[in-house]
Amino acid sequence: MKTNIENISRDNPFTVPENYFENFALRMADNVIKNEDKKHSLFSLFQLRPQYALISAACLVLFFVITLNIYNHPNSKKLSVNELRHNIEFSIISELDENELINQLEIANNCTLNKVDTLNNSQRDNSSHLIEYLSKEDVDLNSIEDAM
Amino acid sequence: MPEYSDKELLSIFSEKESQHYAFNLIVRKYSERLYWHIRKIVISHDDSDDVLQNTFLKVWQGLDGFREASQLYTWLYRIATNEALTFLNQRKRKFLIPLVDVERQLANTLESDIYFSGDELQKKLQKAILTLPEKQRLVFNLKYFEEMPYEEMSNILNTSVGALKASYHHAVKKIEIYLKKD
Repeated sequence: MKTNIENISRDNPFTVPENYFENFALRMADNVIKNEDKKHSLFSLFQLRPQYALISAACLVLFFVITLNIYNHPNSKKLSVNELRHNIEFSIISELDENELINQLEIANNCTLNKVDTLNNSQRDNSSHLIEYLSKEDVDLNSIEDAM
Repeated sequence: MPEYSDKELLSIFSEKESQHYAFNLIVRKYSERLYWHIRKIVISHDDSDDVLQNTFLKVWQGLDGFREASQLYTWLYRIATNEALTFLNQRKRKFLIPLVDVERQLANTLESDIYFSGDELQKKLQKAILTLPEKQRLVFNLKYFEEMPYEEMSNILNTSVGALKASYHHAVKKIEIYLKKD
């Protein structure tokens, strides 16, 4: 079906239900009144009962006061980094079992003592070796002192 | 019912007691023109009815602050166009369907529309118009069916006359290609 745009009628091909436009004007008038009622219902309630408006305003103020108090309470002040770290460490320690903690501390203590003993023994061994070497080689101690 | 000019209607509306009366006169004067403009964008009668109601509700809410510098009917057309395009976009978002499918859906609506009395050629023309981009569709409908001058169209669509002429030219070319296809 080959065709040109100029061959097509420019008449409106759409239709509407009977009396649509007459009824539309009436429906629209109703809609506007309903819309107005909705918009003014809250406002008119406050106009008729001003005490409701006062109670609402008081509730709102109370809500803000309570909220501000909670946020500005002295206990809810901001913590420094050190305080925060201390709190975290304390909370971790408090969660540990007491006996387990004592055992761990004892193990750590024994390890430290063993290390110190080992160090002392090795130092002592080194000194005796040095004295033995010097006496064997017959080194003149005065020359060493001069060199130093 | 007397036919008032836009200036007279706005003057009646400015009186608090006669606002409803003036609004009713505006609805009676412009509802038909706006309806056909919307119908060509959203196709279905029921959708057009919803969009027209929303348009006039927006008009009622904004008429108090309406600046008489721009013509009343230009302002009404602008609101109607925005409402119709918003309606289509909302449908796209609601059903998560791409634009092409919305147009296909509109073409299907056309097939089953009991309020469409055109012949096969007119139906084919409407389907061809639905393949156009949004702006070209608006320009084509306003120019081809409503024979609106480009200057008025420019005020409604906030586009230069030159750009509108170019849009119309492209739209006609695309429609002719579509019509010659089968």
